[in-house]
Amino acid sequence: MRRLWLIPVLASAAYSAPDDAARQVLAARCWACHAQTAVGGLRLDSRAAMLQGGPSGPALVPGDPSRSRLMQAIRRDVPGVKAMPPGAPLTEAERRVVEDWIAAGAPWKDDAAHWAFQPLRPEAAGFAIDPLITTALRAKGLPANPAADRRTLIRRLYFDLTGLPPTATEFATAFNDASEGWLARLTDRLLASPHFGEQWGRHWLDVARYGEDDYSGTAVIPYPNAWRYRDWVVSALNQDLPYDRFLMAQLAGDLMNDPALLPATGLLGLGPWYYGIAQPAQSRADERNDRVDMVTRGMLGVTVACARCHDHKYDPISQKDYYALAGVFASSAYKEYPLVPDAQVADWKGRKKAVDEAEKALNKFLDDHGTRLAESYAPQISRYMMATVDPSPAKDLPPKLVERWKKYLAQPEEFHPFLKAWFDGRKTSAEADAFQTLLIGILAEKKALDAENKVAVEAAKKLEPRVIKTITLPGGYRSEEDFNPGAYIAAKSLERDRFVAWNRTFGEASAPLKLPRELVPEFLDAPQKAEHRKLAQRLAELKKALPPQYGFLQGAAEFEPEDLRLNLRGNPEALGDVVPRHFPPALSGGTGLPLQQGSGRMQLAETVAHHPLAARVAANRVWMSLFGQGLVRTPSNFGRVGDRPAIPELLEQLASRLVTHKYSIKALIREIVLSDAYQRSSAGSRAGDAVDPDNRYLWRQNRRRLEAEPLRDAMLTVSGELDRRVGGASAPLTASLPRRTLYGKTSRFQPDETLSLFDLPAAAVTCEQRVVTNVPLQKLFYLNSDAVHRRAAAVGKLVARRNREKGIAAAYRLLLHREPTPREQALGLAFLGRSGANAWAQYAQVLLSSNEFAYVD
Amino acid sequence: MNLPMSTNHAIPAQVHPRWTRREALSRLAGGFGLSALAGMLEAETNPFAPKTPHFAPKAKRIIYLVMNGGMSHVDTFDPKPQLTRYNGQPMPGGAPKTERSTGNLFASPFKFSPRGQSGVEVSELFPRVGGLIDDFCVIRSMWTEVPNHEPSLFMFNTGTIQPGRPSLGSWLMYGLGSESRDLPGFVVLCPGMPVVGSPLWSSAFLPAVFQGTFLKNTETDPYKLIQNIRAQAPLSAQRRQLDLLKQLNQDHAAARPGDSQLEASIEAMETAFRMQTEAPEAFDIRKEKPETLARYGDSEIGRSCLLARRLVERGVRMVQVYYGNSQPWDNHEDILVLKRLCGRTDPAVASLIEDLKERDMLRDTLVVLGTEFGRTPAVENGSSTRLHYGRDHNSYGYSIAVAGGGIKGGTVYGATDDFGYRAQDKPVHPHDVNATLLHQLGLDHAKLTHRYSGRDFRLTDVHGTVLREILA
Repeated sequence: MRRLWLIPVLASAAYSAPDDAARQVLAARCWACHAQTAVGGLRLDSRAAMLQGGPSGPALVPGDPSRSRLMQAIRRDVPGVKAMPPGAPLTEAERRVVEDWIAAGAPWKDDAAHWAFQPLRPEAAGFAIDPLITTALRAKGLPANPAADRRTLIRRLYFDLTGLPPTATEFATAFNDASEGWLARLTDRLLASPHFGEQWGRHWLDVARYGEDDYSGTAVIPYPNAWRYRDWVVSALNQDLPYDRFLMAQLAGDLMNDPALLPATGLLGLGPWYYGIAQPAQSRADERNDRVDMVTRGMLGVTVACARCHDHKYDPISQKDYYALAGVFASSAYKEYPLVPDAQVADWKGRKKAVDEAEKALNKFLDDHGTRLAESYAPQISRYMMATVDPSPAKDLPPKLVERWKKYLAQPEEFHPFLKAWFDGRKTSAEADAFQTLLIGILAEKKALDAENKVAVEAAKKLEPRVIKTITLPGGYRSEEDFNPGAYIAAKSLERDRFVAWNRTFGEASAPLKLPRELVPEFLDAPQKAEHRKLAQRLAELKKALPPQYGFLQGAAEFEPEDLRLNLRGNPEALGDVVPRHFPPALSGGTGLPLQQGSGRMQLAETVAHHPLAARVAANRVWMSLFGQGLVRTPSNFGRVGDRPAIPELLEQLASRLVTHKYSIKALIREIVLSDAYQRSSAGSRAGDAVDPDNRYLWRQNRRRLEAEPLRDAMLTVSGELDRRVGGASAPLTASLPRRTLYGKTSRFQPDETLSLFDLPAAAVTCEQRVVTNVPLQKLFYLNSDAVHRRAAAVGKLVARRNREKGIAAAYRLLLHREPTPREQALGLAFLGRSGANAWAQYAQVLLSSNEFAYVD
Repeated sequence: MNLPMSTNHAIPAQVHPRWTRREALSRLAGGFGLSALAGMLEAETNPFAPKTPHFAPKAKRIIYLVMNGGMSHVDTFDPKPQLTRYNGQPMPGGAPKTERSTGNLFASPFKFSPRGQSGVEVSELFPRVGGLIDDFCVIRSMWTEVPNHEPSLFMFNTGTIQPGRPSLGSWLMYGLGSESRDLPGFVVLCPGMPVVGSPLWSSAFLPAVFQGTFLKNTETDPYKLIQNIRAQAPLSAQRRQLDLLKQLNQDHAAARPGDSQLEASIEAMETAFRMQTEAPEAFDIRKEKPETLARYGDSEIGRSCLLARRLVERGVRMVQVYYGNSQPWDNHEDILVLKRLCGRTDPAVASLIEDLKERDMLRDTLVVLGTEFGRTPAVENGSSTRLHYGRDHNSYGYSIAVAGGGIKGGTVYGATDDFGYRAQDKPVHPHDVNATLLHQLGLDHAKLTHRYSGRDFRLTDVHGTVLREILA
């Protein structure tokens, strides 16, 4: 198992050719100036350009490092040749890479020759997984591990295919199946289980950066219907929807004349949306970038988003290619698809509108009266102030208002620019009268200014009619080119202290004369009160008659087709030439397939889904989910600096297999799990550890820690609490939620703390692969969390026996599917003997916390 | 061969790639003591194990105070006599575009005076910090891209304006690990939640355990601060459980030799057990003397600064403190609110600096008094009748102050124009500040990279220059 904080997942030296190494050095150290920008007229990003060189001649003499100007510049040892790069010189290792490469004749593989950009080789006759691996192992002199024992295999298969441990009955059935082909039968059973889709759907949701909310810049916008997309993914996998169709539906399900595919467009409709986090142009460009990134890395293993600001440094993707793809998403819109008949939608919207209007009417009534009342009380301000000093002559004043004035005057002096004398102790009627007169004047001035500003702002808006493009996002959010409408128009205000005095008495929520809406009715006369009751009642009735909103899908739709202009240096405000929508030429036989029908989304979907890279990436991800590591260990990057498979033919054949078997994911899984390679023991071996410690050649299976979800689900399974229903709305992931973790709310804004602790990836971007960490905070969860304590109590109840030996055995069978060893019996007995009333729960907690429970061999 | 693209800071260089851990241990056992072996095992299995920086560090930790909302520089650390002189007049040549409409130039209502030996001018809003100005470098030429909170908060925290990149603290965890075995290495404090929230301390594509541990410290009870820290059983009973667990796990590991993860898991449980007693103590500011609490001030920022000090004393690598819920420093309407904000911040920051000095920790602790951007020298006067005594966002120029950790104190770096609108002399971007902070911690910002999906990512993207002039 890999610990990702230790390793950069990339091509190691063993798997890259010398020109790749040199290319990487040049890219890292030289291309900032000497690629697209061609500083000093010199480019170092193709062999031809290097041979041509700059004004001072060729940069390269193949086979002769000492005569190559490039080498002289980086060696910094030839007078008259400018030392390069400016700043930190190349390391000795870097220099050697370049030197060796030139000495070897400076081979420069044509980009088009990169293995992953080739057409898929057809499936070889009689292809099987194991012979290919066996040949490779023999060549390395590596002995393969024997098959794992049956118990291990059953656990491995259950967790890998369903994300759940077998129940006691399930385990016994498989374990006691003495006939030939027991494993194939078990595999078929598990592939047919509804839990298969839950486990494999979750794998895809990592790639799909599935989240159920976004942050708008001021608030969290929840997506309460997001689960419909999640359920579609689960059911697509359960039904073994062909993988090409699976991809197409998610990119263009709205254009495929099959309503059952519509939920799939949640891949685009569920964001991430960046709303008002930055100016609209920037936020919309960032959203398109997310789509380009998710599609190209997630589905094709090509890092096209690297070309947002400049041509790709390693792969043949130009900046134009990036904007050509981004244009497809600019030409697509967010759309909500109601799941009820139009009439019902109209009815709900009508009712909602009526509620909103009634609420508005009520609030306006209360606010108008509140303002009127405040003005009518202004001539009594002096009396209220004096009432706070001596209440006796003010018995007629409403106590609630006197109370508000008391609170107001209890604020420190700095809040009261005109009450210095009062705070100095002169709490006299004269002071109060003067303050009252001042406030009445300010109130009039404020009213006049408001009226004047209103006229001025309206006039300014008319005078400067802005052409505003509106894009609607989830939650009815409208994104317009103008970021903060109206805020650009200057207005007038009061002098500071006068405004503060107004605000503190009439304006802010705690101001004594800013009557809260709920307080206003008390001060109304009888007819007004009757009117208020009428309005309030109407609102209440309408609210009661408003059902919860109908379900709808957050999906994609066509928008005005638009070819984007190149964003210079990735800046959406710095526009270059228009780029017609097309598929990257390097990935479409050099032609740059046009994506011009409508948004181009349908063409994109078809091209992506049937691309050789899509099949390779999918086969690799399936392998990764069954081995913990892909054949290519950069599953979202098959480009030049991505990893190379150790046994290239294996991945190639699996990908072809996927295509010829009608894109059946289940068939591919079946083929892999029935191979010897999958079934090997995960134990180490002297020879294996010495020659191939990373297990690139598959001499063993990999031991894996359960991911966050199966870990939680396994605890619920063994405690007998698991609710196995499939699908439905998400719920807060509490300790008592008995549903599978998949059904917990998945927030982008505030990821679940426990799941994050167990390495659930952030849902902000498409996830290449999960990492595995092992930290004390995880152990605090085992020690003290409500969740583990509940599970332990439940398990404790299930296994408790008067005969402790039998109880211990029951616990081992339930949690670990095996009998305890005599030593484990003895340890258990000693523990139970020394523990009190809660002994069984405490014992269960230990076993739930054990490595054996969390790791699959 | 040491390929440049595979230079990754976190590779344990002492382990030969071809050796398994077990082999390495046995081959090296002759030459190393047991502790070296344990250290090596730890480096391989514990993501938080202290790691060797690129070069000798000047600082070991950071306390990053964020005046969230946008602290006005022309009222605090950037005196502008011309602004006073031209008060009420239009900005010559027009004002740059900010979020909202602004009117005429608006002099600071606060007085500046030279402070300390160095005579750096500080506003009357920071009397005690002013008294310690000889410990600070005031950077008066900060600028950032966007005059909105969210992108600017993202920028100084993660080096980009959108979610999805690791934060400074996460990079430190990745590059240096933590010196505390019993506390999280990167702690974020806010009495409430700043705008944007958790993406600001996200580890993004770095391992999730490197993310900031967020503590909403409106609570002072440490048991309410840290998830699952309260022992749910008597420690003696837990110990009995852990003894059993350890035996079972050791048997399990013995049957699977050479798997360091299994051993790391055993170790992590022991650490967790210790944390239950040690962490609450560290997080409990009620253990401080009442005089100390009073010195920091009876305020949220006071309590946060005091807690920050307790945490760095115990080896926490980075503590980030947000002043308050949402964005208290977003003073669009009334700049006099600064009296209250600074009135609380001044004693808190000054006491923090004093305490660090007293413990001889200021020399290797970087204290940043930062913010996401500054505010306009012109008064804001947009659209409705509101109070026009405030300032709009200003991303073109602002100030931050940095103390300790090998920074040259009593200095001013860079300058804005005559009115404080734009960084003019030696402009400094948050990338430069981050590069400098990493540099002081012994990390080369250009080399602290993580290979993710086909390219090497850095905190400073492809930018950032270490501000050598401000280094002592």
